[in-house]
Amino acid sequence: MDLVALPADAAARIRFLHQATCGVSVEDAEAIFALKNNWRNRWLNQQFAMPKSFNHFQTALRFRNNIENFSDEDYLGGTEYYHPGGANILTVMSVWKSMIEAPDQLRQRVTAALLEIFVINQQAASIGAGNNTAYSSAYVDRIETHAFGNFRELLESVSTSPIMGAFLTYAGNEKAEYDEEGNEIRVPDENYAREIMQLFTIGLHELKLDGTLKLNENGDPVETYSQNDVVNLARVFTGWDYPRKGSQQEYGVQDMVFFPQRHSPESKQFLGHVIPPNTDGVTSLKQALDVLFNHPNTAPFICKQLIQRLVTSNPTPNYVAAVASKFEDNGAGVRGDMQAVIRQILTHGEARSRAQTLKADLSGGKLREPMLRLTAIARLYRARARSADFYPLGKHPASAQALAQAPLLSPSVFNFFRPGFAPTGSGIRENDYVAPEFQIAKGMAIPAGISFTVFAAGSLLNYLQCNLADFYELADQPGALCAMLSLLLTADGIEAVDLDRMADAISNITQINNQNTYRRWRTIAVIRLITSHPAFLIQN
Amino acid sequence: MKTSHQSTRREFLKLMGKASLFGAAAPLATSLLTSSAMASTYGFNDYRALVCIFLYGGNDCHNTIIPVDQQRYDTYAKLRRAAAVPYGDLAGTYIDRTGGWGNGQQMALHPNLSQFKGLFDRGDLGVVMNVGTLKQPTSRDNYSRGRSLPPNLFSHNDQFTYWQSMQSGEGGSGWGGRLVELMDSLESKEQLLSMVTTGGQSTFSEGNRLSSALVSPSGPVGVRAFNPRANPLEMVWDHLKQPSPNLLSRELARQTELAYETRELLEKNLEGTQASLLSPVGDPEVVGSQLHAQLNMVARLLQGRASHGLNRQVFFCSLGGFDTHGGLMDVHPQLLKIVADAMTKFQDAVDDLGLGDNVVTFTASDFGRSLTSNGRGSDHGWGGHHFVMGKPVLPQAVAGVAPSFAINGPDDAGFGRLIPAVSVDQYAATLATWMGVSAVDLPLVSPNLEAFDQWNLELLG
Repeated sequence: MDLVALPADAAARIRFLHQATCGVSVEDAEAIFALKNNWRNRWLNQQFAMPKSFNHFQTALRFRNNIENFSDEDYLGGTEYYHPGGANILTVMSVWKSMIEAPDQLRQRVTAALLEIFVINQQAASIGAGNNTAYSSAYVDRIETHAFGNFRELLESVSTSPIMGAFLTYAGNEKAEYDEEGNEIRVPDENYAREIMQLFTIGLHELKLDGTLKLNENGDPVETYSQNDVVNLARVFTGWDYPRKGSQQEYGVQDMVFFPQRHSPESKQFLGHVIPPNTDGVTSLKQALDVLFNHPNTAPFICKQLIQRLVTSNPTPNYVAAVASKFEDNGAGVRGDMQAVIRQILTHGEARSRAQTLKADLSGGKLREPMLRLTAIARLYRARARSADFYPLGKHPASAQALAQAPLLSPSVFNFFRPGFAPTGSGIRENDYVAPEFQIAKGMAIPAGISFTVFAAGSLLNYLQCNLADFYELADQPGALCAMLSLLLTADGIEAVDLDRMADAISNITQINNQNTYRRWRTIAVIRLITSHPAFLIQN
Repeated sequence: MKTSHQSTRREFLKLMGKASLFGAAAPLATSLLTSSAMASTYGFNDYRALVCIFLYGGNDCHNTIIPVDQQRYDTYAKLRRAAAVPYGDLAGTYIDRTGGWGNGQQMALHPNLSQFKGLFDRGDLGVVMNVGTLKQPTSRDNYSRGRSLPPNLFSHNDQFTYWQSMQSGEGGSGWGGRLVELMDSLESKEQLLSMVTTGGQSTFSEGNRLSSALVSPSGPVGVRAFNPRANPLEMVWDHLKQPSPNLLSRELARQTELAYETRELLEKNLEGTQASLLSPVGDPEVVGSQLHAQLNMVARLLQGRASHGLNRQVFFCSLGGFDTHGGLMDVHPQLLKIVADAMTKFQDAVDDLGLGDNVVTFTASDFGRSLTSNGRGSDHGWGGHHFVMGKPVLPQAVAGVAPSFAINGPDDAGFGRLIPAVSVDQYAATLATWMGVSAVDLPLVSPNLEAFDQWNLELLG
């Protein structure tokens, strides 16, 4: 890539890719530079048209069939970090691989965001390693399939997935049982009914379209649902169970199976809606999902979180309202059009420029999620697996430990960080803003995470096939090397004075014994310096 | 008594709420620690420390403490099949608890825990039987009806998170973090060392204000050194600490300052301490373990504690590998050997430092495991048995009751997974009481405690 012939808006284009992908390579840069006017929409159109490139179900299965051929030493980080051991559930490995290798990057980035809303763990329940692998990898495929489709279908796919039934305990859930006097002996498990409202659709408090709280006459927030709503909705999620017919290869990708005799015949009254008694389970489910989908909270609740994952932790109410409006109506009368929502998020004025995202009160941007720091480096390296049977990130928690984050390994259904988190004692909190990612990246977690990326910047080269040729070519001109890497990693976010310091520092790395390895060491040194710089740690 | 502690509680709750008590103009480094409305009502003159050893994966409780009365051993052996510990191997490790086990029962430690027998007999080790995550006392009946249970009972992540926090949902703080925040006034920067983690970041160590100090077996976690010729480490720290108008960058810089200060305090803490405080004698495969290395680091930090002068500290260590779906006959016994050896040697080191009365070490895990086995491994369980170690332990103390070992019996959650009789809340409250937390404040550490009658298990004096 020719640094001299860069388009005038090169940094803006790379910055867009930081919002829309898991990391930028020279190839990615060249491709977006080649687009002419209206390049944002053109790029989005290309991405929306790309077929789903990955099959997580097949990939995880392949990993599982071959895992005995690999040991702790084959993982990035080796045995340096603690290892919880245990069953081989290799969906995490598959997701790292797709975030780093897949060409349909927008789908990967959006899927990563959706997996932090529709959270599961790769080991959801005690159903055996094989079932956990099959169902969890199939789940990621479900999310990827619907990421560019309709939210209503996404919600139904999630709700009928066996891994969700396992994780939120409604697989095997049965209708209530009463004694002769009509006293409850057993009631349906309420877990999914509660979480589908609290986390997947409407949230805890009523919102306006712009994402701000609706207040009652006392100035207090209004709760969206009551315990009674939960109890009633729980009746909907009865009668479903794991598909088990045939081989794991066959049932792993199937929806949960419905058993009418276990479904609640009672009426289900929730959120002002009534599903009459004796409504069958499939119809009940569809109606319940329709109610949640159509609830006025769903658009702002979901859209604000998607903005927070892609662009900025503190979008203005205008920004949220603009995106939520697209959710409610994509312009052609359709509700829940994910493409319209994603397009609005990434092309809205507030996303377009650093200054606009940052805002006048300087509250903009977001702390880059730790796992996306690693994918940024790996994608910069154009990293590819050495074997189709294995990926050196994933089961081993090195990546989870030091980064405090890895796909599908969050501590609970509440993700790694809450959307409303703000560090105590910070100017962020003082001004009523939020910075969710700080929840796992504050205090000494900062040097811990940086240590890992410093380590990985060198070590990735030993575990994956990487291509740094474009950078080695520039290594004899430290200034140019720093500029190029700053462009790709921070969209020119680093000030000249810091870049000069970096260039000076690496000039001390010189050729030894006529070997050209100094080029590699210069390149890696710059990448280590840049990925520990605030301009990289904060995406803006 | 009530008045002052109620005000403590109110202040504490206020701190946990939305209102910030720190001005935007507070100086960078110490703004976390600015003296506030939360002046601690706890003033201590003595030193006490808790050391948590978290066994990640779910330690197999049924091969850790084993019934040796004939009837129950037979049930155990039948269900455990090839993975049962041979009867003859248990002769030397009977747990002779005060007053006996009752009901004709007798329990023994796994033979690889023989060092624990020594500690138990001399009164420096106690046992907590069948402890696990509970929101309220739970019978088999409650369990089968799904009444008020902790979330996602057999899921690793949810369970170890719950063991460490006793909260679900918006929580985010661990009981270790809450404990230190309750007792420390957080007025001096030294209090950044109140919570120290050697075993990797965890929910346990996170407070609402305080982040844990992080240390690896080789020293404080810092930015890993790279390329001596470029010598860029100072540059990295400078970049991170540089002031910037953007709110998020400012916070990153502030957090970096805190990390930097914590790191410096840790370095000072380690200055002059002996590199190796745990006896190196023994099988290299055992003494070279992660746990030995972590406990050695804790011992060093204890040795150097004059550098900070804190009166209360909590340490978090961890060891992985306990998710024995297979390996119950080889991997698990080796892990038990490591745990017993590391803990025993740590106690020796603590005693040599003259801190025998001041340090209590305890184990914890995601869950116990199923009793039934395919002969090679066991499945995720619920209640498990744990150990509390230190001179403050009451002689031959055993809290809780031995499981009934009856399939479909009153403590069976299916497949011999134990319904806990003791909750993590009670376990934590017992340890917090020893640390000096008053009864009124205990629910701040253990949020579900009010559902239980016994807030202080008879373990520590």
